[in-house]
Amino acid sequence: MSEYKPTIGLEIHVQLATKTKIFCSCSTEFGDEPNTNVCPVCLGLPGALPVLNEKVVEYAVRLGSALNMTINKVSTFYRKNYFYPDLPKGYQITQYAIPIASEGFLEIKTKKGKRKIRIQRGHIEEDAGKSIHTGDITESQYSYIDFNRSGVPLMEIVTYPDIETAEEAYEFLVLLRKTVRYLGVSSGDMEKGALRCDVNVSVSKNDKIGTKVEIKNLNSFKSVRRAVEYEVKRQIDVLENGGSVVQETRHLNEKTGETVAMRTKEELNDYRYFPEPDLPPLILTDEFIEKIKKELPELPLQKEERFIKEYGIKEDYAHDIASSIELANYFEAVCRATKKPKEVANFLMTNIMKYLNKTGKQITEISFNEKKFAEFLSLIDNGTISKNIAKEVIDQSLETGKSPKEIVKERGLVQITDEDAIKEIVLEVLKENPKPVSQYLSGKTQTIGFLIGQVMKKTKGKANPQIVNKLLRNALMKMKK
Amino acid sequence: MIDIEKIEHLAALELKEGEKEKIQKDIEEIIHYFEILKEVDTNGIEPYIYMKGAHLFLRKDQVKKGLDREDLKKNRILSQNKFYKVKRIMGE
Repeated sequence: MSEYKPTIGLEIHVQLATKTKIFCSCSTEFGDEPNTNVCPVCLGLPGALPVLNEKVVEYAVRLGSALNMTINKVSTFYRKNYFYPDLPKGYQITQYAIPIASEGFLEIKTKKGKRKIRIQRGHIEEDAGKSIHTGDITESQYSYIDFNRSGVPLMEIVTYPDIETAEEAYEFLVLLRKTVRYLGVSSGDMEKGALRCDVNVSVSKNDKIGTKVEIKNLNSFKSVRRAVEYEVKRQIDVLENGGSVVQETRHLNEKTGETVAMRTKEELNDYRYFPEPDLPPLILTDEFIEKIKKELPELPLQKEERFIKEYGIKEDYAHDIASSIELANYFEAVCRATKKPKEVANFLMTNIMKYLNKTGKQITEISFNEKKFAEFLSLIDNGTISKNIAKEVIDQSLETGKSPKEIVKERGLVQITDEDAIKEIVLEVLKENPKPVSQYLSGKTQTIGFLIGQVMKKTKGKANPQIVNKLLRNALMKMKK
Repeated sequence: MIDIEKIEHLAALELKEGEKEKIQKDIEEIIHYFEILKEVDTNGIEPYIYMKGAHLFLRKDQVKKGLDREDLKKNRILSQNKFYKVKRIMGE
């Protein structure tokens, strides 16, 4: 059986993080009481006129530029006509003929190396309202509409069908989310609907692209991966059994992980686009576009690569730290204060991450700042605390908010480097453990590990391990003679 | 020939039998006018879509309070106190 090659394209709706809606001054706040952020414009009342939000333009240009797209100096608005109760005007204002941004790419990292996923277009448009169903959808007589979301600004990003696996689709989305967060143009929260994804999937054995199936409204990264995996398998099965793939829209059943065909009755896609007479073309100046391009921040992959080069930290640490702009900023602030990037990365990705996961806190919420971090690392450097004890100190400092020095003082965690004190304990341990000692003396030298452990236990981990090692060996050597 | 059934569907209308023929005829007549306009040679002329000199105004991103929910209720726009009530939207 020759191999089927999947061809996958994504359409992603990114909610732009403006304070107000795209065409009116209503708030975009998530979770407000239903129908409290509405006005004649977003309710589609007769005679209401749309006025474009300048922040939407700025954010769209920023995102388009970060995705290596051409920003069109002239773009136009269109009406996309269809009837649905959550669309009060009977049309959606969107961009059609000339979007604000076109032709770009996002480079993703995959197991096979870097891959460029080309982007066809990015256009700005308004969101629809939200329908709420009480009880069982098949039994309830009515649907209820909340128009708070009506008119919330979206930028739709459409990729070329360059994606070949579920993994790549997933990586693309994850990187896009990181990018919008880096840029500050969207929260990227899928669970709040700030990032929504439709997937187009087809499979083919040759260069001819197969029949395309669209899977709509995927609202988590996991759903995207599952939907693609399932759909590729399903289409191959259909073809292998002599059938043919039907061009249709499907939904992912979150419970079973299967995709199901939508009813085809409402499928008649004839949106009768025509130019929006209430909005003349959007014209951007070169200065405006250049200014935004110049102000673009460093993007996730660039940052990751710089971290590896500049700080010499491990690739997977660099990847994880650069995955969030807040984490990356914290890391760099601490590195500046301590000049010890490897140690910082280590403690950040182990003890601090564990603490954040446990408490659900954000890195920006912890009191363990660069000053405390520097103090902490110097305690290790000057031998005040051992590496072992260090873990306890940082955990306690995170937990209580006290400074590392305070923790050490309070708990008496200062490393014992006094050789006489340690020697006393070493002799004690040798006396209490005659069996391992004789084993050592008869050549089973690995029992020294056990003896070191006993000394550390007696000192509650505070003895300097190098000194313990040295004194133990010396004492045993003497006994041999 | 126009497809009256398709137009009916797109406009979300339900036409009675007699109306169908009448409206079909009307629409065809309207479309015929465009056939006449097509006789004009428009080669090289830019489509006239927007008012000449029309200029897109941009708004600052500042929140203004919209309509009050109590007023919406008073005007019977809102039902169920909080929501707009519509006939059940068919599920998938």
